[in-house]
Amino acid sequence: MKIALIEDRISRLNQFADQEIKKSPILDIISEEKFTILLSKIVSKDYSNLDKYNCLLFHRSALENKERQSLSEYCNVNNKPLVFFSGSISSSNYRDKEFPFLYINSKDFYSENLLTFLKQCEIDDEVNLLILQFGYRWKLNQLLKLRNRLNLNLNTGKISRIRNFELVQSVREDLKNRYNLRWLDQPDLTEVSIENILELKSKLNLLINDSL
Amino acid sequence: MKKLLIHNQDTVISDNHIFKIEEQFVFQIDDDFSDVDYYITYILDGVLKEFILVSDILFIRLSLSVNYLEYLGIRLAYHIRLTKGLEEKRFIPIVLVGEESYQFLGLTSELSDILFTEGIYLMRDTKEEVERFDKLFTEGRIKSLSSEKNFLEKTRVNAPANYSSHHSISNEWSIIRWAEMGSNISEMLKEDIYKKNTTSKTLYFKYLEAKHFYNNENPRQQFSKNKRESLLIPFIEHAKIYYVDDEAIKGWGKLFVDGIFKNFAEKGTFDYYKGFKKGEKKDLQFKKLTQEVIRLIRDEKYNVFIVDLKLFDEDFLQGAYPSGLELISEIVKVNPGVQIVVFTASKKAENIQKARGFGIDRYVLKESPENVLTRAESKDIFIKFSTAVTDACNYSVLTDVYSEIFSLKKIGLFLNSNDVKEKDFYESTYKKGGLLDRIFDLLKSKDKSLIEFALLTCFSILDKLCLLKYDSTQDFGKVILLNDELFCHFRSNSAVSVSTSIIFQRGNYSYEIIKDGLTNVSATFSNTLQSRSKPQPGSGTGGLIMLLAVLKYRYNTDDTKLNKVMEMKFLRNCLAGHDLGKVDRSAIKVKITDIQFLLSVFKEIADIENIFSISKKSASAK
Repeated sequence: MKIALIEDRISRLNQFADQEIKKSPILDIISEEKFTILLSKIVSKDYSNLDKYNCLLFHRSALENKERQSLSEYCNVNNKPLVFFSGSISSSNYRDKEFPFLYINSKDFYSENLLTFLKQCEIDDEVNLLILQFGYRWKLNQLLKLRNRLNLNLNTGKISRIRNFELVQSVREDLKNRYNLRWLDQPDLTEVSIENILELKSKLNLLINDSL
Repeated sequence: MKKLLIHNQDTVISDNHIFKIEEQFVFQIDDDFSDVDYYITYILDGVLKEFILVSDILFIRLSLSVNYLEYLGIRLAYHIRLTKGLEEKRFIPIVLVGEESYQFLGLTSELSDILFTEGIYLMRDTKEEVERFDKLFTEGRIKSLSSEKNFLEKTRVNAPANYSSHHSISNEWSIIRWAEMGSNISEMLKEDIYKKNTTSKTLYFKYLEAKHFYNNENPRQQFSKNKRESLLIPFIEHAKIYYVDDEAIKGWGKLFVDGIFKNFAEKGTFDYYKGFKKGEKKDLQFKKLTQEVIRLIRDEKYNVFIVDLKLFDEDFLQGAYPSGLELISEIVKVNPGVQIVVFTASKKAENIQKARGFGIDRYVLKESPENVLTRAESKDIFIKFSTAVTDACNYSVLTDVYSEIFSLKKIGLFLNSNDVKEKDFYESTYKKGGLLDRIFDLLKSKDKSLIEFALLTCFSILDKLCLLKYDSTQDFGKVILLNDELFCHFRSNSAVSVSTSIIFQRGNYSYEIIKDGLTNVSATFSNTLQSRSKPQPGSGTGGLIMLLAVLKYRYNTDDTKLNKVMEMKFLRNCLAGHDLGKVDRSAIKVKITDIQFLLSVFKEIADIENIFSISKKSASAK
């Protein structure tokens, strides 16, 4: 697992990225001369320097619009999570229509969340941008989404299958282990009864309250 | 009840039976929008506005994006309350739709304050809830927001990182305002500036704008087409202007080149620094910037600098010394005659004071959204800027004056002389605080009356130097030392009549009240030393003859220059009260170019005298 942090504003990096972040074994900080080299490659659409990274954290304004677009295309083709952080972004916004893509304000980016994100990526060997966006509350976001989905199923009377809940593994484990919802172990295409949905929803409410 | 549902397809109530298709708006951020606020502003200025203007109540899903916790529904509600373009409809009831409780939202949303304001409701995402609200509305139990002031008092919006400093808001606000105000700013340039400066689209800005509106009780005046003004600074011949600001790339550079300084830019006398480089350390960048600025002053003769104070991120750190001030100190070291205008958003008294320490009195603050509401106030700031720049341009010639004085000092006439009088001349003229320094200081002071003292000081130097070469101690009359070997004699017959080779007739100048018998004729000078002339009695011409004779016969100064020296000498005499003729004081106008002329005469003399001294040395060495 390798993550690239591309920052042209060195003072901000030094001000906000503490030693623990800088020492992260999975993080490569690309700034100063390395940044200049990378930028010249990106301008000529050469992304070979980025191939080895599993996730790219870019200061948005370090690139011009044209370069941003082509970088997004590169991430799209390679399904590589991309983060643009900037001081002028008002509110973070995550999009995953084509590939995991997060816009985040630099104040939120350079926070405890970055360290938590890096540590978790190292442990899971997987990139979870939600941690960067919401920190320790990232699971809560998943729980709220799930509750919303359950509500939709209950009120529209559509047939639900386990797959429809789009459960992330850790949430699934929590629900199974803490509330003994063993039916969640069944194959993804298994239909779920209304009773099970209601049970899941009530347990979910408990889990949500506990998450606060 | 005309209702509208705003959602992102993830809701129970988007069913056609609950909300008809025409009562629904799908919130979907395009990839073109990097910022949620820009998208919201875009739809509230366009398609969503049309929906809202015909609605009586709004139902908005709490979540309008992939990630629930973003709560974009709450953000949208805030925008609606603060978007003036929605007129009275921005106050209509808003029902937020979701499974979350007030308490839960209070704990998990940074914008939850709005939930506790009048006209905001919360309901669960069910058909029954819509029906309940339908009924409540019909019964008149659902209220709109009745007091915006109350809303603003109860809510709070935090600034995004870049806007947490006042500096950035001011910078963006100021350029947008000037772009709007300028009748000579092209639509294309305006668009470009709007694209680069998006402050006004953010929720934070809208919130600030609304708050200031209530604090000031007046709405901000806009610049409709007929209220615009030409933002064009008139061209000034000898001025060459350079702008240093990291914000130049945000549109200031282009606004200056294509608008405000167009007259200069077209003639190649305006430019701005484009070398702020992403990813480079401040120290290295500052070094490059300073080197470039020094080169521009020395080689390209830029003489007016418009400088922002905070040029790098590091300048915003607590206690940091602003790079702009560091740059100014470097400029002043190279040439204190260079004129500087500080144009900044930094209104720290400390910085203003520090700038004054470098002799900078032109400090123009960029417009800031909380202080400027009327068109007149915006115009006033531009006028201040324009006046400061024009003043700087008018004094830009001081850069040349300083260079001239600097080159005169390099000659250091009589530095190694053993003659007491020559040594004294050297000491009083060249030493720190001496006559040359005094001339520059007097001009720099910008006090009009002091420029007259500069003229007097120039003659102190010239008179003193010429007197050194004009010996009146000889028995047979006055002697000019043409060089060390050749002597030329002048005979003196009486106290009021001096025999000279100069055919001299007093001319009249514009400031003189003409006396009978005086004609406006300039002096002519003979190349031989034979003819005689009779100076006008009592008109202070004795010193003039001494000066002109030495210039003419020792230094071969040409007649045009001699005439000009004569004119200046009369002016000097009038100023010093030596001339008995009647003069109109108000018509006496000494210009910096007059001082430059006299310095150039001194330079010529010094060069020749230097050659004499070198040849004398080499002769004695032989």
